[in-house]
Amino acid sequence: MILACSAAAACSAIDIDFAAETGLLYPTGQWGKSLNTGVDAGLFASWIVNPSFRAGLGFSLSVFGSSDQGAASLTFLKPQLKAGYYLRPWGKVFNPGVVCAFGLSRSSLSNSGGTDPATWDPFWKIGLRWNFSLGGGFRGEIGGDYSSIMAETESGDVFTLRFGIAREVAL
Amino acid sequence: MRWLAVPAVLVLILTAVTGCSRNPLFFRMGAGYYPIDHIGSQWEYSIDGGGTLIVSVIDQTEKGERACYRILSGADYTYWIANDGYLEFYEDHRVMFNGYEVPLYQAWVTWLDWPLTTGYSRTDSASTFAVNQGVTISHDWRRTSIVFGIETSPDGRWEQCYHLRQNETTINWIRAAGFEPETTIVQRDIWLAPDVGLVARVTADSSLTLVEYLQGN
Repeated sequence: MILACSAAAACSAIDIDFAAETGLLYPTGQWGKSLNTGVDAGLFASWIVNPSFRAGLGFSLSVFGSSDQGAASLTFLKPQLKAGYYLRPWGKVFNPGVVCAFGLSRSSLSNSGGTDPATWDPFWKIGLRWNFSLGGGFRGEIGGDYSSIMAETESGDVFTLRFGIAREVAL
Repeated sequence: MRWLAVPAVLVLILTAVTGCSRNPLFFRMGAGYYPIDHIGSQWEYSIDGGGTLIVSVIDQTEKGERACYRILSGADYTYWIANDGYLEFYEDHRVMFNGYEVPLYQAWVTWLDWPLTTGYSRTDSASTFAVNQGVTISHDWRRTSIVFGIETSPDGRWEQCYHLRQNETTINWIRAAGFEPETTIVQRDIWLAPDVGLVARVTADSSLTLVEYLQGN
């Protein structure tokens, strides 16, 4: 919010990109051996600095379940700063881009009536996007992210298949 | 006003870096807290009051129509199945009656679900009977496992251990004149260390402490 307010104050009229994202998460590494594929949802607001570059903030919420008969669940809540660079912002069908994000992740694990202490750790994310027009001022986006939660001793790395929808608004 | 954005971002980054927890959640999730799936692994325990106990993973075999690992613990064999999400143990409950060993309950029962968490709780039970020499023997069994927390082992050697308490109650009753229900209650405090397994076990009459662990293939 601080960034958004600062940015808003800096310009008399700015273009903001509001985006909603969802995704399928695949843990990489041993930490995910007893978990199933996760799901993710997030909301973001980004300042369109120029047609190619945008930066903003948002948060996402991810949930994993047990891979077998268990009752385990792992959740991530990730407030984050995000930036994206797109190569063909005028492209209606094909506008490739790269995104990166940095923030904090609150990881919480529960299983069979128990809960481990929640942990706050920094995380980063980098991804590729295929952005395209959906008409009516909306744009769609698909892509993949690789993210890593930098917890003590061992990081929590995840590959994500990402789907999103966005609308640009002039404020 | 645009310059405000830069310090705001720096403050956020600084908060992220300095505010991170000292809680290796992903390490615990990735660790094997009962790694019985390496043939040749061996645990050597010292027993309070003298003596040692050697536990070793002997081989893979079949028990109850399931492929499993056979473990030699002292002079006894036990049977385990290591799944990704849970660990199963072959419960083999028997009772001696008139000089005969009577099987009462044989089944694969989930011992623990992974990942463990503080406050985790699991209860398993069975109620069955067998008829031997014309006499009915009833058998009631109940085991509750509760994780108390993440601790260092009692000897201070192993960190990030899950402290587990198991309460196991067995009631065997020979349904004949002159016999009363025979109740056995056992409470075990167990410490499971990451990628090592059981490092300490305390019951009312014995304490085990891991002296050496050799991982097999």
